Amino acid sequence: MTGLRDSDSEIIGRIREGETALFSHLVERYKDVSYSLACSLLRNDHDAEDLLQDSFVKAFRGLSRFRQDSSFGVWLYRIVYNGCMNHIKSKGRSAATGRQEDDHSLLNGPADGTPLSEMLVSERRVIIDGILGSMKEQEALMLRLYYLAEMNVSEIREITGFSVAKVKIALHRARESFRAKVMKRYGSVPHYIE
Amino acid sequence: MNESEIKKLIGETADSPSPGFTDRVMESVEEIASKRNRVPERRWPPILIAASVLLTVLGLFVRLPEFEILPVPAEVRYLFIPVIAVASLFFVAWNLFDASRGVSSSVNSDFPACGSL
Repeated sequence: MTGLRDSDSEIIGRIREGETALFSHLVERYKDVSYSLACSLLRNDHDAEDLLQDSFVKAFRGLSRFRQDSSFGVWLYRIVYNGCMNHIKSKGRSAATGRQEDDHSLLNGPADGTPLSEMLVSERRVIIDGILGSMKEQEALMLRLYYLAEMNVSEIREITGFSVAKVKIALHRARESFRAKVMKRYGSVPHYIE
Repeated sequence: MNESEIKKLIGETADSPSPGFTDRVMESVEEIASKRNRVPERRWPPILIAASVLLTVLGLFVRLPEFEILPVPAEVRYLFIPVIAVASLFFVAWNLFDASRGVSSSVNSDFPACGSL
């Protein structure tokens, strides 16, 4: 049996041996963060989902050539990042910006939360999404890569192709900008952070 | 606002693709895998293209008077026309068929060029 706790390299090894169905574990493991990154860059849910599906298929096709010098996550995020950049170059961003607030995703609160806490988290999420959406695309991307995808500076450099210095500066500016916008919106740290 | 608070706020913005996303990806993946199992990936197209070019050039040398370098009897020359035509058509059709099945050896530039591949 293979569960979600197995390491990526173990799963990749077994996929290469022909257990194709195990690829679904990698999709489950990385789809949310990848989707958030794609949404952050494309600012359109539908385009992001199409691109993400395409990215996973490309990753599967290229899996035999993936040498595991870096983690699967870094490699996949780079495929997503390159795909987004190519999409923006060829088609530009869609006119629709921001998330659709009535989307199914906003209804997905924490499973163990009370209705009130779920509502508060949903509300806060919409606000933070709005703040990230109002930031420069590169700054929002840096924050999502660092805090959401939990990539370090070197891995962000590998994904984006920026220099280490540029990543550090962009990350610092993004952090400051995010703090300022949150403080402006709430006046302090949102009091209901658990 | 400290690092953990920023992490918490941004962590909450993680979103999910629509329901059934994994199934849709897996459908495509299974399709690719089944094609791979049916038809082993080959490196034929470049060889076939080279063979087509070679045959055409050879045909020119054999057929056209101004290229009559090779001592080929007239009967063979005339026989060469349909052979070249059929062979060329076959090679072109084969290449197109291979390309449509996605087993062409063309390079996919979407993959990261970093050391991870």
